[in-house]
Parts: sequence; C-alpha cells; structure tokens
Amino acid sequence: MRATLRAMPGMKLRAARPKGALHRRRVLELAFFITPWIIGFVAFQAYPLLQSLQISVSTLKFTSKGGVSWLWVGLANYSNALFVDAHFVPYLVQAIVSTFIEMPLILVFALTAAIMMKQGLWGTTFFRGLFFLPVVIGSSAVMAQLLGAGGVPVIVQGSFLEPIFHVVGPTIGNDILGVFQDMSLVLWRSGVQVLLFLAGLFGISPTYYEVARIDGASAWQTFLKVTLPCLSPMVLLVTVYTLVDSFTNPLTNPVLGYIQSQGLSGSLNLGLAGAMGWMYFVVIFIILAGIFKYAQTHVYYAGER
Amino acid sequence: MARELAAVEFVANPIQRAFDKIRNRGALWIVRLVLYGILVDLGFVYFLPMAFMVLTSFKSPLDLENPTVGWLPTSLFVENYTFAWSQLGYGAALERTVAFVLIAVVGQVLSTALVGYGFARYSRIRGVGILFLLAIFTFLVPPQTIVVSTFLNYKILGWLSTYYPLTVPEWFGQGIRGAFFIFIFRQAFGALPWELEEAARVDGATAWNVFWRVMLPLVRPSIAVAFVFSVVWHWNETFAPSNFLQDKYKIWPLSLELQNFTNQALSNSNPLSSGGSAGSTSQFQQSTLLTASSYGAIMAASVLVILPPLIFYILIQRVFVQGVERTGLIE
Repeated sequence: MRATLRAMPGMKLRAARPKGALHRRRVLELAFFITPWIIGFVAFQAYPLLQSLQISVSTLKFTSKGGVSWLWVGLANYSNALFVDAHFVPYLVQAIVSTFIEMPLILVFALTAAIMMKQGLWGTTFFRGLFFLPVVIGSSAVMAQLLGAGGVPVIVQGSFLEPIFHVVGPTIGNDILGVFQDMSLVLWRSGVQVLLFLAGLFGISPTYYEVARIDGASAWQTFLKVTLPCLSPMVLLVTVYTLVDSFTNPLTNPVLGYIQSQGLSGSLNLGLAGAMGWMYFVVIFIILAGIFKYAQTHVYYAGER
Repeated sequence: MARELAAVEFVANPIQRAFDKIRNRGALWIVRLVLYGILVDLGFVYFLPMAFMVLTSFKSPLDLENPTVGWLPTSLFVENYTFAWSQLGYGAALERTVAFVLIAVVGQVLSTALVGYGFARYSRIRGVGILFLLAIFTFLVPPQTIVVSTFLNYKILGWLSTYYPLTVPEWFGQGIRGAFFIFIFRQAFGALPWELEEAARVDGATAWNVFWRVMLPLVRPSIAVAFVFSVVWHWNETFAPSNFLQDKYKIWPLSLELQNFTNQALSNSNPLSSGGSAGSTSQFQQSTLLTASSYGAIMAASVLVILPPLIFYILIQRVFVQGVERTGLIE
C-alpha cells in the first residue's frame, strides 16, 4: 500500500515530465531551423524597415550647415496622402481592381497549362522550355526593351493578327490589339506560376493516383478529390505570389511609380512617400491576411495534426 | 472544403459526363488535338518576342533601316555579336556573374529550405505563425522603397562596392525574394505526411537527420523550382548591383553591363534622351559612338546575357519531371 502510494505521484511526474521536455525539445529544434532567418531579418531588414517607418512620420529639413535633419510631424504625411493628394487613392483603387481581375485569369491559365504539360504529350520537353522563356526574359531589362521597343508592332507585324488589322481598320483594330496585348501580358506574367504548379503536380505521391484508379475514379473525380486537395498548398503559394508580384511590379503598377516620383521629385518629399508606402503595404498585407485566414481551413497539409 | 467541392461538382458533373461520352466514342485524339492547338498557340505568344530578338540580332544596320526587310535578315551580320561581346567584356563578366550567382543561390536555397522546414513542421508552437507573417511582410515590401536605409546599413558595415550585400543576406534566408523561397519550402514540407517524420523519429533519427535525409529528398521538385528561380532572378538583377556596386564597373555582373550597354547605345543614338542612371558612370565605355542602327547590337547583347540561364534551365528541367519516389506509406 505504501509502495503504491509512493509510486503514484512518481508515475504522475514521469507522465508529465516527458511532455514538458518534449515540448522544450521541439522549441529548441524550431529555433535551430529558423535562427538563420531571424539573424538575417535583424541584420538586414529590421533596421531599414524601422527607419522607413520613422521617415514616414517625419519631414526632411535642410539645416543651415548643409546637413539634414528629421522633424517629427506625427500622422500629417498619412492624412496628406489620404485626403490632400489627388492621385494616391485612385491609383490604389486602380491597382487593387486590376489585380483582382488579373489574378483569377493567371491562376486558371497557369494551372491548366501545368496540367496539360504533365500529360506526357509528345514534345512536352519543348513546351516546358518555351514556358520558361517568360521567366528568364520577363525578369530582365530585356523585357522592358522589347515592350519599350513597341510590343504591339512586334506582335502584329507578320503575325496572324496583321490581316485582322487591315480588314477592320485601325480604330477597332487597336481595340482588338489592346485586348491581345493585355492577354499576352497576362500570359507573360504567368511563367513563374506555371512552373510552381508543375513542381506541385510532380510532388503528389503517385500512390494516391493508383488508389483512385483502383477504386474506379474517373479522370475528373481524380482531379477533384486527389489533385486539387494535394495541390492546395501550392494554390495558396501561387495566389500569394501573383498578388505580391502584381502589387510590387514597377513596370505595370501605377502606385509604386507614383510613390517613387513623390520621394524623388523636386520637393524631395520622402516623408510623404514613406507614408504612402506604408499604407500601401498595410493594404496589401490585410488582403494577404484575409487569404491566409481563408486558407487556414481550406488548405490541406498532410503534415499537420 | 466539402461545401466548395459540392458546388464545383454541381457545375462540373455535366462537363464530366460530356467528357466521358467523348471517351466512349473513342475520339480522345480530338481532345489531344485541341490540347496541342492551345499549347502551340500559347507557345507562339512566348516564342514571338524571343524570335524577334534573335532574328534582329543578326540584322545589319542596312537591314534595319530598310523597310522592305521583314523579320528575316538578308544576311547573317555576326559583327553585332563581336561588338556586343567586346562591349560587355563578356568572358570576364560571365565568370564573375557565374561565381556570384552560384554563391548567392546555393546559400539562398539551403537557408530558405531550412527556415521553411521550421515554419512548416513546427507550426503548432505558439508564435511561429506571427513570425511567418512577418516573413511574408518582408516579401511584399519592395527593395526599392527601403533602399536608402539599406544603403546606409551596408555603408556602416563597409560593404559598399563589394559583393557582400548581394550574397551574404542570401545565406540568412533574405536576398532577392528570400521570403518567397521560405514560403515555397513551407508549402512543400507541409504537404509531406506526418507519419514519415514519426517513423523516422521512432527509429531514432535526430531533427537534423529527419530534415536532411528523410524530408529534403522528398521535396526535390520544389528544390529544383527554387533553384531555377533564384538563378534567374539573381542573374537578371540590376537594382541591387547598381546601388551597392555603383561605379566599380570592373566588378559589374552581366546584368549591369547589359543595362549600361543598352543605355549607352540608346542615348547615343537619340541625342534627346538622357543617359541612364548607370550609363553615365562608366568612363571607358562612353567613348564608343553608336548609331541608330545599334539596335541589332543591343539585341545581340541581350541574347548573350540570357543564353546561360536558358541553357542551365534546359539541363535542369528534367529534375522537375522526375517526380518524387513513393513515400513508402500504406494509406
């Protein structure tokens, strides 16, 4: 009796201690894995971010000795950007609207293209090479060159569109061309997404497909019940990438260019530019947070429990 | 998830029945033909600018000014390439760029894989979610907007006019779109079944061994895709090098040489436009006089610069398609 009484608290302790120790060990392991990022963040990101936050609540003053100093102005820059500046809010709305129009197009197109390329049709190696072109050219100054050198003439001259242009005349022709131009720009910007989906598709264990086939699932059912759930982490990734890419692309997005022109214009209004920048990031971040919130219950991670 | 699936099925079931009918008639090749049609069509959109670039790079100044010459040059004008080669300093610049890109990319892929693994497999520990959102936040702040402070930061460290700002952050999960690579790996590792890790743990594997020997080989397609993106983005990067290497043109990477060459050529051919930001800095290239028809040389230089990543991709793309081995689980 005494022995059992003495043993029981001990047993409880033994049952409780491994749990705490296990948790502590997992925290240590986590620390090991993410320490590089924390160091990198503190060393290379935190200071510039904090300083730009400070700039956004200040105004630049040139002192008599030719130096510069920052004057605290509170939220004046923010209210100026929102209520005084005539362009910031319309540009912001325009950026959000165009992003939400483009994003579904890019997502659907990229997924379709990736699935087609996984089918093992003859010549897919060639097509995979072709779909890489927008990634390698699109990220370089070469792309700007090509588009700047008149993307429309490049696409029209000698191509299948030229007869259309002659038949319908320049007025309607330019409209049609505009549509084609927009479309080809969308296509050009989905190279990264196609490759991401392709990697995601090849990451799905073939076991699942085998099981589905043995159970007699049709191709469509397999897509719906195997491919989509297994691909859902990749869909989240591609969505976020498309969103950020669209919001931070200096070539196509009006807001960033406007912010930079504010900072570098004659008035050198760095404070206003900083305030606009931070509001812009916060708006994007809220949209992203909403997407992550939705993903929490709709993305399937096999490794989660 | 279930409700969405039901909705999708409601729309999709008629489509599916139509597809089944097609298959029953044995007319699958029609579907294939349509698929080919779409692929060829899309390929055309991607192919056209590339073809334009390559063909123009072989045009002589005479061809470029002659309106009757269409897409095809009348003769192969190789002088464009020899000129672009010497202006880019191609041999030495290529060596520099390959070395810089390799160091940066290996560091970025390794460190972001490590961090992404931490974010994916330890997501239940409190605070991890917030740290991850912080990482995502750094992804959506473009480097252009914080460049002044970043510049001061590197100045204090004494890293200006060296390659440190372009390679060291990469080894700590930062660098060009570093947070995006962390995100890629978080999603890839998160999709691996829990039982794998458990089985390895039961067999006595340490956390590092689970990561390095069990999990990392299984996300090979994601490693390949991260590697490719990182290579291409570092290869084409002009913003960071032009800010942190500045006028030390002797150590410029190819991307900057190309930008400089293009700006030079365009500003010389068009007296109204001013030289580019990087264009005015290099003295030794300013002496070169270019005419309006230097367009062919610009295209030749562009082809020279994008050729290495293109070849690299053709070599590595097979890794994408290998897929993963079976996980060895019986579901």
